[in-house]
Amino acid sequence: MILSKIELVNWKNFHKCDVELSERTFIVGANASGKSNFLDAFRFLHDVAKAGGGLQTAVSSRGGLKKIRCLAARIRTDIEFVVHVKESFDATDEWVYTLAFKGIGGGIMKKEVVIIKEEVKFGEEVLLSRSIDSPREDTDTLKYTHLEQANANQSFRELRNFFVNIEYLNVVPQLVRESNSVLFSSEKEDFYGRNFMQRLAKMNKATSAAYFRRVNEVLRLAVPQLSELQLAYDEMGVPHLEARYEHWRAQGSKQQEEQFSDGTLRLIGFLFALLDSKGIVLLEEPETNLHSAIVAQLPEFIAKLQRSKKETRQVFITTHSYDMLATNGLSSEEVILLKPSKEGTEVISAANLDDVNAELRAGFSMADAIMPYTKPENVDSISMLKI
Amino acid sequence: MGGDIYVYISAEDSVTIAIIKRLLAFTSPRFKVFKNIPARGGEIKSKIQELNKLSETRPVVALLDLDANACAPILKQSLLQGNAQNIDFIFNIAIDEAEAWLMADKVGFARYFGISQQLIPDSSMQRMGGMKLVQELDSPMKSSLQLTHQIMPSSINAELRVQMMAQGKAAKGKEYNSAIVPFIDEVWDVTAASANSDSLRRMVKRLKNLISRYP
Repeated sequence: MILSKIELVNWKNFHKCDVELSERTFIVGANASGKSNFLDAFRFLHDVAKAGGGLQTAVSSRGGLKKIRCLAARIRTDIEFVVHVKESFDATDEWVYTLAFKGIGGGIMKKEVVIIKEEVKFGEEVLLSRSIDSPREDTDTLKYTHLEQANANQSFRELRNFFVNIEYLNVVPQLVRESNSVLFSSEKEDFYGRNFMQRLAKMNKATSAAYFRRVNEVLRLAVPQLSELQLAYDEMGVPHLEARYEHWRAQGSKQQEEQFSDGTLRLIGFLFALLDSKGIVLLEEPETNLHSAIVAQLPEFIAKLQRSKKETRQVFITTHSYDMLATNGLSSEEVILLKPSKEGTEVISAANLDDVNAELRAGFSMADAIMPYTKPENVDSISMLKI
Repeated sequence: MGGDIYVYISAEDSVTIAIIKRLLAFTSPRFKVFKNIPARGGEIKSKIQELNKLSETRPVVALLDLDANACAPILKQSLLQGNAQNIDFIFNIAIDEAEAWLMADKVGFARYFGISQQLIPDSSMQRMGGMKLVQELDSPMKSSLQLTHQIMPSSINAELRVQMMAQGKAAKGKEYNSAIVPFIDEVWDVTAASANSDSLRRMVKRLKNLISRYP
């Protein structure tokens, strides 16, 4: 399944957003324009749908309604998601999932959110429609979405599973290395690569071997001195990534993840996420810590991986990288520009920017066409500041 | 007076970008920068065809240095690879470098950078590799190199001296751009400089022609 379009109202930076999504979508914008918050909209859907998740947890784990509602929200104060999901890009029928909610409580009452509208449609058929006016609904029942309740979502289980399979990956090397870091918690999901190793260990043996083979192929080219990456267990049974590091001794020596470089760890993390994806993969600035020559290869590599899968696996990537966007064959439909304004961030498909299309036609790369938009007007004056 | 004319600009570094912006403002307040097409060190030469094509949609103003190339028209021809130059592609080559255009305002430059006017080379009629005689500064070496290695060391402005003088094997000082851009923005006398540089005079003329085509 694919997510063909997302509409947001009052979600974080976005007062209003209505944008089409591609198989491979690059999200660009200045710092603090809302790239991570845009990805967080998809993570939010995942958090509502996942086992042990739910609407209240998804909101409270983000610091409550105040932290997720757009500051530009005025007349309309609720938050709304309208998500369009299709079997494939050429499918005619689509699922439309709508979720709108607002805050209740405060004072001595617990602050929570309550659903104003939850609706599921498939084509013309309405599978679910609930609001405060529906019979048998009250502010207690409306604290929970049907998406999160197994006995209420039989008719749209597919859609629920699709949301559950949305994956966010931002390997933070420091967290992978310091396994006894205070931030470590096996309860938490693998958002920042905290329990990346455990996840690898849980994988089916044959699948895992196939993935390691492919990851090793890439590593051989990107980090030539590392080879034979594999999973190894220490005497306590804790899984570790281990590889041979070639140096002056004929045999080289074994190194484990705490000795890997930041870039190596991030590269390994991204490769596994892409290989193991069961649904949408959200990649946050994959260029961080990586050499620009590797970054330049990523878009094409992602396209190749996508083509190798039986079903479409969407990848949404936030980036600041010129090298990434300078890739050949990047069409303007694949790029979403986030443009900050006083009324929240505007979300614009590059396909709707005439000048970007004209520049692409003239032979410029997407990087040349779109990067000027992502640069704050007076940023060049930073070096002119008197310090 | 007609309405605003939005143009693309493209150049290799912040000094040349500042020069384009200054020349646009100098020529007419109607000029507005639509977009700055990024061209990183040396890349602009490989993007000339694209800039030429892009100028079919709106005017493009590009500036690059002649550097060690023999002569501007030949460099232009070779970069256009036999394609006709679009009328709205304002393609300029500074002889021999944008820095020479700045130094060509001898009085302003000497005063701002705290140096003696005598250190700035005089302009003279020269062939610059082509048939035609052109008036340009008579630099014994690359203008930027002369500036950072021969001229700035004797500056009485200690701050600018530190910012612009090259250290080690670098060609320019560590804060070269941020030292020179304020001069371009606020001090540079384009009229005075034009008297010493045909290539600068031609760029201003091309910009004026562009304005006249959009009455």
